[in-house]
Amino acid sequence: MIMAIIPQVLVSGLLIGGVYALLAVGLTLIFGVLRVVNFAQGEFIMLAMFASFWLFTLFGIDPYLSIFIIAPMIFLLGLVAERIVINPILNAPHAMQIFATFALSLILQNIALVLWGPDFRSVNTSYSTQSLTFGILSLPITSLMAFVSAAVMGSLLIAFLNLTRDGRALRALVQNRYAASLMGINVVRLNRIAFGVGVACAAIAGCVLTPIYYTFPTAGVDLIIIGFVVVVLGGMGNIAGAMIGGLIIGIVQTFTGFFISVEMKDVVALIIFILILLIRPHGLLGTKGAEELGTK
Amino acid sequence: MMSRSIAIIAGFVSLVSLSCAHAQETWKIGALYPLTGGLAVLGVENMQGAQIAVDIVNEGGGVAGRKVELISGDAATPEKAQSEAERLLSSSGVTVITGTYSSGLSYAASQVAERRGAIYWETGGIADRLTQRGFKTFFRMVFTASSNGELAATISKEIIAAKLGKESKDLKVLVVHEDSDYGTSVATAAQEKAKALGFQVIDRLPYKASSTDLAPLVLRIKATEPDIVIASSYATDALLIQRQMKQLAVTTKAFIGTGGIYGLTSFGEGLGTAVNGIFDTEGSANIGAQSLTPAAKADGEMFRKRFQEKHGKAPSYVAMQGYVGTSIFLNEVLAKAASMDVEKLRQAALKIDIPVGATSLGWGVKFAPEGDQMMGTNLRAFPVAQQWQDGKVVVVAPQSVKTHDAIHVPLIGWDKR
Amino acid sequence: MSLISDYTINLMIMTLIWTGLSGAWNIMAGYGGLVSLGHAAFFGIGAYSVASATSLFGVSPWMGLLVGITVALLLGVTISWPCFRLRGAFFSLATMVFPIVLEIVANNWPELTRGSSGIAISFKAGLENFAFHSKLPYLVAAVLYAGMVIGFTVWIDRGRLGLQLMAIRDDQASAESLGIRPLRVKLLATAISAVFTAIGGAFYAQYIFFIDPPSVFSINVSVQIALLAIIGGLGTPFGPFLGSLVMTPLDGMLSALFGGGLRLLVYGLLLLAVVLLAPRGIVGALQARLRRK
Repeated sequence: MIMAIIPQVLVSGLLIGGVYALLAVGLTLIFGVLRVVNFAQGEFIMLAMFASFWLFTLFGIDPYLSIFIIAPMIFLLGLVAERIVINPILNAPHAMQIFATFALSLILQNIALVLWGPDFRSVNTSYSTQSLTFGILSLPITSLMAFVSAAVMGSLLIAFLNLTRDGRALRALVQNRYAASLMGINVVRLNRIAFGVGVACAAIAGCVLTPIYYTFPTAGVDLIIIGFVVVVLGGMGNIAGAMIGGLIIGIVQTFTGFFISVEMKDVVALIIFILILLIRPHGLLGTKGAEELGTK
Repeated sequence: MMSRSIAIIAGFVSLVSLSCAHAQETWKIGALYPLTGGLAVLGVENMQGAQIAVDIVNEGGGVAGRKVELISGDAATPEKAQSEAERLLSSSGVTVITGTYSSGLSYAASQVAERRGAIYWETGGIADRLTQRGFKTFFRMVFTASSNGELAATISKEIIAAKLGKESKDLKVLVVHEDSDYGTSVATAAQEKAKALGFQVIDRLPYKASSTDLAPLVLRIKATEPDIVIASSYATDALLIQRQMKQLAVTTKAFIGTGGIYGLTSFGEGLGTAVNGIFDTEGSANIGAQSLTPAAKADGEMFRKRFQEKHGKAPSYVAMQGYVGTSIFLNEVLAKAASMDVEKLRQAALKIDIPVGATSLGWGVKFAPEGDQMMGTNLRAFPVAQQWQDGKVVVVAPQSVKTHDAIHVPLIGWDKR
Repeated sequence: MSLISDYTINLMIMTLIWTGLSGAWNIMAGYGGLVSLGHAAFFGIGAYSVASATSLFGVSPWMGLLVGITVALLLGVTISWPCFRLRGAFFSLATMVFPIVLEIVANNWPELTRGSSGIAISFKAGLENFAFHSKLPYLVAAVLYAGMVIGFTVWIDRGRLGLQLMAIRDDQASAESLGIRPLRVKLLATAISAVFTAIGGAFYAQYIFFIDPPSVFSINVSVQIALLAIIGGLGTPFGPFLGSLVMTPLDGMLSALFGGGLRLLVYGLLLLAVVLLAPRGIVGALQARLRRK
């Protein structure tokens, strides 16, 4: 029976890879442009999950449709957050940057806790446990939607970064902040946009994840760790890298979990993380040396 | 002129006497629960149950004419549990602490209590070793982790194997569990008992409760084709396992959860009708009334009603656990000792002899005496086996306390539930 | 002594333990710019070395302490060495990994750690067990511990090692051109930091009497020790002490006043306020005050 399951293991690995890509895309954009690790990214995901939950419970709006309401809201929230929290510490010592976003994460988590309590909320739609079946393969609809969303979101972002003026300016910032600012790019404005877009991506991830997991104030904490691993693997600031990285981690973890032990799948992700950091810190698709520029 | 002065003096005097009446001393009891952090969901419910016990006692005039007051502390981590215990014992001057929902927190806080000679009244922690430390002032109301795991194995034989018409040696059992102390101890006990009962125990698979994806675990279940799965999970993992089992078309003849979220409404809400047929071993807030004394039955109904009114939802076992545990302390220990003197309280506790069926949880109360290896454990507490039927959790075993018969053995297809 | 309640003494002991832990981190992060988010690894090693020594192997905790210090030292040096190549956020992310790995190891090696059940240390009074009925000896030990770390930090602050560390922190390339050997200096700072953190972990275990993998390898420990240093004043000898002095009792007070979520919310807002408005922490604010006079 084990042999016959291998195709399913592969498919499941790819699908969770899509979820991981969703988590990582916003993070890598922020990391790439602002050179700040947004430790609060998980909390933006969590806030979107709550928003999606409430829209579903109170108004019956499907989580996937709620993206169109929630993503713009979180984008605006991101602009505000960048203004208040991020912008002031862009040139601060490294420890300050970390703790600014850590503080933001703590604040958002506990606002959620105070407002909505620690209970686990779930959204149970008609398709929450349905799958598309192709012979021996089962593709859960919710995971498929996550995969598709990741692909669509990633493609839209890549198009944005390559075809629009602002997008190209953002790419310039990722490559070399100092040179880019010398080229007359309005760094302050673009930083803000990048952060807003980055957390809007987190919002989309949150909406898509709402039918899959429970929603609760600390939901973001566990989700985002794998996001970091994927970002580093894919290359800081590289959207395609985040997507490919997500798929790789997804497949590796699922195979490890199946063949070796479920606990090992988390260890394996950490091992990959450390190896990449030590051997190839710019990741699979990042520009070599780019990660050093702009950091002290 | 005179009358005005008299009025003022009279007013003053009545004010003073009023405040004197209110300044009457209360019985102060420390209450330590995890109110923040990962355990908060159930920690808070545990405390809510305890608070209702206090409210009811106070409405009846208190204990020995004095009201009871819970002084609460947030024991989110062992370190906080320890420092909050210190705070309660020295600043607030209590000589009794109750709590704590989680064994890890209980270890830390009760150490402090033992060294200061205070009573620790544990209503939730199930780790066996809590009462193997030889502590004279530690009392534990609930059953142990191992008894819970063992029950899962026992019903595998007595209900599931029986209904399938098979011998245990012809059935494959797989144990999966989250890797914390709770999950591991229950799962290990289940595994060993299952082996002792003759089952083929394929494996015991630990996993991290915070995993974002349990497809590897579910696919392992699919690949090894167990007849019975016994699981000990935290919360998000329990939901994920079921959903992914359905999505990946994995079926078993029976699925037995062992406490925690498996008995909570949020589990049922998350799964919809797919939850029907799943078993759960732990305590129950809705034990078969036929096993209860009339007083216990009335007490249980009253508690359920009050909890629903106050918190807008039906109480879980964890809430009732806090309620019963605290009630017993107030009515059997504090009332009989009529003092906060630790030795008097301890003696009162050791004298308790309540038969099985006389509390709304269906338990009796009798603590293992001094010198016993499990000194301080309630020997008359026991887990029960429940099952989800029609979106609600009902009790199906042991025979004496059940409200319904077990159904859906073997588990019917996902779509038909 | 009955004037000062046991609770207050407990508060003082915890404040001093956190001072020492935070001070140890400050040496690496404040002076060296090596912002570790994984110091819980050393803390946990120290805690487990004494807990396992007494409870599993029946050996004196002092022996366990020696083992713990050695392990922390070796581990600190071997894992940070390759990480020094990483700059800024990458270094911090890399350090996050180690406590997670150690937690998994502790969970799965019951012969060494009793696995996920954790270790409840039994209390047998006596100096050889570092266990006392009265709180006083603990207080003395805590003062010694914090004093040792602060003393060391003062020595670093005023001495050559400190100058070299700070030079590397501010501009490694220029420092190198002046003949400073960054690798050596960083390794030294890491070693000192690891050892002091492990000692703190050992003290903690012997004081709380219960440890388990999630509580000692938790990210919250790593965050807490960094937080105290930042609030007090990063890169200053007394910053960690001031941070701990303010925050440890404040935490207890907030706990008594507010329930759960609200307390942590206040914590987060406070941290953000310090980071944004007073990045030099309490020390910086005090210095600014003095200068204005």
